[in-house]
Amino acid sequence: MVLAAVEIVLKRFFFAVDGYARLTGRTLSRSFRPPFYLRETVYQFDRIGVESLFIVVLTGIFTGMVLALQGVALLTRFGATSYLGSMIGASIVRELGPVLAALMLAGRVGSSITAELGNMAITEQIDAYTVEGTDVVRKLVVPRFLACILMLPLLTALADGIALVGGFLIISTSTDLNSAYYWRSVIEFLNLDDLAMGLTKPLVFGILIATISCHLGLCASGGAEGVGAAVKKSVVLASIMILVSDFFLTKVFLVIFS
Amino acid sequence: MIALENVHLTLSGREILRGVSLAVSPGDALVILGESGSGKSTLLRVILGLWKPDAGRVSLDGEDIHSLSEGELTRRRKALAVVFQGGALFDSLTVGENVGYRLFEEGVLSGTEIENRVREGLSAVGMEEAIDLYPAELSGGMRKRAAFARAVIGNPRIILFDEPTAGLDPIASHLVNELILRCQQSGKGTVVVTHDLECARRVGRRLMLIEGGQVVFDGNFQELESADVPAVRCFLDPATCAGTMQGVRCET
Repeated sequence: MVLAAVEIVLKRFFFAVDGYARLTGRTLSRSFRPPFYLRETVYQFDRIGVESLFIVVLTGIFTGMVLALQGVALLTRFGATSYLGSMIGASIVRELGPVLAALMLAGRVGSSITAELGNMAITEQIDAYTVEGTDVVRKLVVPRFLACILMLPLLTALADGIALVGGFLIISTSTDLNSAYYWRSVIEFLNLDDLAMGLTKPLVFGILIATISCHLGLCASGGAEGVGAAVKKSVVLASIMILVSDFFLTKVFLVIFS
Repeated sequence: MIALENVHLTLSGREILRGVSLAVSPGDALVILGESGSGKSTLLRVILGLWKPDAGRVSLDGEDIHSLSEGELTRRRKALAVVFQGGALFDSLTVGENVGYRLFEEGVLSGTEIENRVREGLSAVGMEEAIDLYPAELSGGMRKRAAFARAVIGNPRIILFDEPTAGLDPIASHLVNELILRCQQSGKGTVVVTHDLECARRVGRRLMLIEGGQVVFDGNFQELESADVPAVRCFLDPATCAGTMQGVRCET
């Protein structure tokens, strides 16, 4: 009885992994080879990128301000406030910017992709596309995938910049640290490795958000309740995968740059 | 011609189709009857090549569709069209864009030619004024009619209908039945999956009854009415089915 249940769970797991891997492979193979659905792709760039600006700016500014508040409280005790700029810069560019922007997009964009594709799946629109002779991956997945992998690094760069400004606002109002010194300390401490790390991570996170949310949306079944479950799973799984992959990416980058 | 030979399909541990065989050619008028959950809609998906059976053969013009490449299957599937149960119109497109979708995708005709064909198709189903509306703005009957126009525009040889009259009022049902008959008169093959006996009587020349994934009856409507098969008797007159309503109470 228990063995049979374990077998069913394992079968479902491997079936899901197989489906995910196949979709990812088909998406990658079609993403850089024409024909493209240009109108659909531009629309997704707008929906995923431009419409996420507000939430990313908000995340960036408050993250930078909180980091500055904590930094001031901590470093004042050791008389090391001159390191505030470098501390905030490194934390934001290496970790907080990419991870927080990706988590925000997993919630905002990932959930909407899964809900949209899930609704199309349960109303047989996906089947209708197939019968009409349309490659569903090319038409529905590739535009979302391209928008995620290209817009997330840009949004992350924006979040990083805004966070540094947020840090500056707090430091300039709550310490007597020279503002020019703050910016110099940020720039001097950051190097090419940090930027490479800070912009490669969003690329990987974008791939994860797009593929996970599309896969779960296309596989949704069981009416509105099934779509709701798929959306929840999509946000949770994408968030977990972002955090797990962040750990391994950081390890790899530290080895490479050491 | 579409042919299914001894098709078996199991989903989530449940055997949905058990040894189903059938053949449909242009000009045929097949109705597949069965109660909800009997495997009718699954059969439609198998015919379209959307689902692969565990055993058996599904062929289109003599060629096993699951041995074809994706591109070849897409090309050959143009001989078929389907009207899904809820219409399955694309939410983000207008009715006109939905109807002309296949032609836009093929990219052979000019924009004006496609628009003319779309207007023609919509006027044939009495919906020319709805060309710029979105699916969310249509009633159930209008969606079915728009889906019908979309199915016909590519000039397929065989059209499949999944529960074409489900959820429609008698007038809308009558109209949909008329449209199916019109397709048959123009020489197209039709496969109608339904549990609506009136629809089956009007549009079916050959009827099959599916019960538990198996074909339990194959014949015309007169033969169906006189068939001495328990599943057929039960389907035609549910009140005679022993045990169907036992234990069902209105009060809670």
